[in-house]
Amino acid sequence: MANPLTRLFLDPLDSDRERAPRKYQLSGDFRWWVVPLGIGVACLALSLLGLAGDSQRFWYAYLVGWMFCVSISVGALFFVMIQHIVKAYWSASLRRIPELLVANFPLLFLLGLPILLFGMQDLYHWTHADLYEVGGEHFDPILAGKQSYLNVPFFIARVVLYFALWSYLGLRMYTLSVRQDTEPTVENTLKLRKVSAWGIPLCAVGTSFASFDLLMSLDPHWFSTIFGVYFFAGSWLASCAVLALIGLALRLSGLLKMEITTEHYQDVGKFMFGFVVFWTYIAFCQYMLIWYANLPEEIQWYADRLSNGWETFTWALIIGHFLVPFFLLLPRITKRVLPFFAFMCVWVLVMHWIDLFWLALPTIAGEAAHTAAAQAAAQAAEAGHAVAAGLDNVVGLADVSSSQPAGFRMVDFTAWFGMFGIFLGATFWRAGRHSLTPYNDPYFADSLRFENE
Amino acid sequence: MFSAIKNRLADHANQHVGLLAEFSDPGSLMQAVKALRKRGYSRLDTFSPFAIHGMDKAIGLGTSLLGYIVFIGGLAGCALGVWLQWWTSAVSYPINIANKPLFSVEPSMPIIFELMILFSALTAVGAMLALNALPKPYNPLFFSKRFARATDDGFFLHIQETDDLFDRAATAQALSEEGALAIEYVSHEGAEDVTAPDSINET
Repeated sequence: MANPLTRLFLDPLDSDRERAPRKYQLSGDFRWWVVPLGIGVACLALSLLGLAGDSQRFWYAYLVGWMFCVSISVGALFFVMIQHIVKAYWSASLRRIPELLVANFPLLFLLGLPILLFGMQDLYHWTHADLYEVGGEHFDPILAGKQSYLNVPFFIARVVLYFALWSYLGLRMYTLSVRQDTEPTVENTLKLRKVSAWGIPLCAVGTSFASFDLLMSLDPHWFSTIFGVYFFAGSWLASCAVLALIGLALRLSGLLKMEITTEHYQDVGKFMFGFVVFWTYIAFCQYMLIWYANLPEEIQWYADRLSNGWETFTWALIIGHFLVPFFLLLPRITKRVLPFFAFMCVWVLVMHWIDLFWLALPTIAGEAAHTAAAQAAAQAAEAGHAVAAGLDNVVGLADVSSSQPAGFRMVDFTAWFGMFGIFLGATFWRAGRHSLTPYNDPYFADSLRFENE
Repeated sequence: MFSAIKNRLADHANQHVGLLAEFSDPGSLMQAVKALRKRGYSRLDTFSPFAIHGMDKAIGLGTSLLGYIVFIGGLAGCALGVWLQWWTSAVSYPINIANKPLFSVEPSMPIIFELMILFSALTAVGAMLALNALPKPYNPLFFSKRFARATDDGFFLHIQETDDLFDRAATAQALSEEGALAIEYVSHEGAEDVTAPDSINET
């Protein structure tokens, strides 16, 4: 397996599976990774059919599916780094699972390349050249003002930078920890802690800007500085759910039963509960300020999401992303009865996908309206009639947005399953090459003993 | 109803009348608790300078009621917040601000949220004190000279006199068999050393 391509995109390390104790090896065969990978590739191929129809919708579906996987790896990266920086011992025995997830960044970059190469025109309204022709029919003075940041070369450079940072940190966490299995030294643990110390703040800024660029700039007139935190909250939530589900899948096939116990699942469940609340807190902070100020350039984003059928999705998020998981994850028993906990993980994951869908898709409907509104606003601002701009805004919305009805299409699901299948396939392929748990970690023994009081 | 409360208070007052045994370390304390539970004693309590993992389970304390009480406190705070926001902004002193609805959920949410947190926190502290029957300025255990070391290096096990199996001599015997260093009978009259000298020599 010295193939340079698999080394670069899948696993930089040689397999040390045989050196791990038998009970920590992924038993079973290639089906662990071939099945999700096969489903993923098939679904992604199926969604390519969508490209022939509505190419814009295809790219939106592709972006949402891709961001779903990116967010899981981002959440897992924060998770791993925070475990190291706080010297957490409870999580040592389950830490290999998020470590396998964070090694996915190079592959995710590869999956994101089509967006950068072919999808920009359909996805990002601000890439259209005619917006910047002074005096032209589509000239947009607001976007012209943002051009020094929102332009294609700088955007691509930034995305490359985000993935370079994530990949470096992710692979560092992964390789140092895997090396610990066969060559245990104190230095590895200290190095992991050191990298985490500077990695967390850098990753916080990087993830924040990545969410601005990849998701928020879909609607280039709108801005919200808390958006990065919102994305982070959802990411952590989703990564906890995936980590628990992978652990439970291993458990079903008889692996890591003594290593990842009900106590560990309860703690992951507590994290999920906490981040359900945190997500809601941030989502509400963003909404409340914009609702209060009621400024035309800000409120439009919510107007798009509270009209033309998208209000159903907004309510689905309030109920399904907050109320239901809040009350269901609150009691102790729901986190300890593992089949129910698995159900909650799936629930949270689906809601996270709907959340990303809700962030991206209503923009298509609102986009045309925005252009009209922005032009009206610019003209009105020149004439000093800010109020008139607000009115035009609403009129523009009603005129145009009915062209894209709210709801799912086949391509949304196929792109999602496609991406997630490939993501999981790569993760399990890597899992089969190494130990499933960092059995030589200095905190491993403590982790096995861990109990909730 | 009134007599039930009175009985409960009396029970709390007499909670620490019984035998107090000192142990050398957390491990032997834990073993003694487990052994005495096995012998059928149920009204046990332990005192140690720090929390000992697994002791709750060993004593058989079960899950605390506190969480449920706090949940109710939080709901009460939430309800009060809704009422406060609605009454002050829409009923008592309505002011039209930017033509927004007099009462709406969005701006009220922070107040509702904070009141909920405040009520939860105060309920948690209050209910914790109430469930533990604290503050307790007088406790018969204070008659014991050794007991002061419970905050330093002493590990104590206490068996209530109200325990069904309690018998002063037999229980003291059981305690010394489980490795107690010293045993005292503590009541409202004072503390009295009941350590059997020969049993210490045996162990």
